[in-house]
Amino acid sequence: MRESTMTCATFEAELGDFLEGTLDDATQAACERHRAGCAACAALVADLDAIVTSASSLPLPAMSRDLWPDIEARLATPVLDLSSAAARGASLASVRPAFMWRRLAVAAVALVTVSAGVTWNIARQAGELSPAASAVVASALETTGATETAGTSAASDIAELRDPAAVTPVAVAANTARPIALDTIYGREIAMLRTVAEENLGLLDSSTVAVVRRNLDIIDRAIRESREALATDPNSGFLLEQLDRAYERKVDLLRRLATL
Amino acid sequence: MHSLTVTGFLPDPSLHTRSTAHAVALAPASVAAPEAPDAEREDIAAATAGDRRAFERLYRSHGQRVFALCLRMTADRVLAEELVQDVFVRAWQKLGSFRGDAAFGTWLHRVAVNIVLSRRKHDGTQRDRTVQDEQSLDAAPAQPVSVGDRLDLEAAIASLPNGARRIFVLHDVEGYTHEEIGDLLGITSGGSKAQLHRARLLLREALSR
Repeated sequence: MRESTMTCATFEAELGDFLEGTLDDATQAACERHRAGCAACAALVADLDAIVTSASSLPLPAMSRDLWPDIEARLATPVLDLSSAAARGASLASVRPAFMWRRLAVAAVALVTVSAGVTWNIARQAGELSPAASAVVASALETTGATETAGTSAASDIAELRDPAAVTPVAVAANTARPIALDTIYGREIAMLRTVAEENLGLLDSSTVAVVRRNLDIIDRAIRESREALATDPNSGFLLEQLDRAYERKVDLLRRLATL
Repeated sequence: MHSLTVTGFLPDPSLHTRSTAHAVALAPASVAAPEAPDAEREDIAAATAGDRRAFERLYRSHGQRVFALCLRMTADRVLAEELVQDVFVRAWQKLGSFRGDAAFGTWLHRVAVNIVLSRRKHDGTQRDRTVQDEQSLDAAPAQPVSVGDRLDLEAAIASLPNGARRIFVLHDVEGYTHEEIGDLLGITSGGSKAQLHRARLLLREALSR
């Protein structure tokens, strides 16, 4: 019926789907017939076809200058190993923002919890922990255990977000490093990221911001307690590694906020 | 009704620097990508290990194409050049996450689209304008149409409202599907189709002046 009554207005209403080829067969055929008998509509279709064809083969515009020197200058900014964070970031890239932030909030808590828990179990079995180290681990477990985890399955998020193979250069050097070196190395990047991260927090809803801030507080507490423990046990490689990991988590979280 | 003459915006072969391989290498996920040339694979591996000269070669190969995307998406040359820098800095940081499942150009292209769209989210004015675009098909163009009897297609694209321009560029210039655009922009594929059709009609109107 449609073909016998199709007007230009009807044709134009169907035009988008007609060009996409998503109309049912009968309507598509009706549109074809209308186009064949209507010069104005045929011209319209021809014009749109010309636009589509041209758009797919546009020449590349030229940049006003070579941007590489500016890019390279930014690459020269000291940045720590990003492979693990980047891998995790890529896995999150296809996730819807709300889901990503739920996982982000969970990750900050979960990483502290699992890292401390695993280390606690391993070290306890090996009898390696000094009293100061034991206090730090116990504190981390206690703190994170009492913290909000945004109501999700932490275990699955942990498995996905934690990369056991990721070892930073700083962590490798933990036995010889000192807290002051870690403060310097991480402090520089944290300072750079903090401003942007704080700005981006404004893009999130208040409840998410609250969760993120609580988890930053947890990480800060882990850093503080590790440093305090190192003051009484300065040769503990374990404590240095704990401090390094806490810093790494903080940088990772800030980096994700900064690149939101 | 006269037929639209596209003088001035049909591509000049002498200026057409996008090779077929390049076009495919930078295609969206919906387009099959061939294997990267050995030299590019080596550069990717070297850049991932921290070799900036290798990364510079990747920039030389892909920078102009990324710039074209940024420029057409934003209709702002200065902003586009800033975004190109952001894209390559981000790519440098995230190279470790590139697994080679897709062509490097495809991966880089996705990084670029995300950066452009992220910048939009940071700009309250543009965000508001986008909302208007989604709500009303009668929204005024984001920029006044340039003086002249006939605009070339680039200028006409730049004159589109932001929402319509982004969808036109992603679909008709870059080859994304409506489903992919919907995922990127957080809209339905039907909304993407409607905006695309509107964009084409606005372009026709601009080019017919």
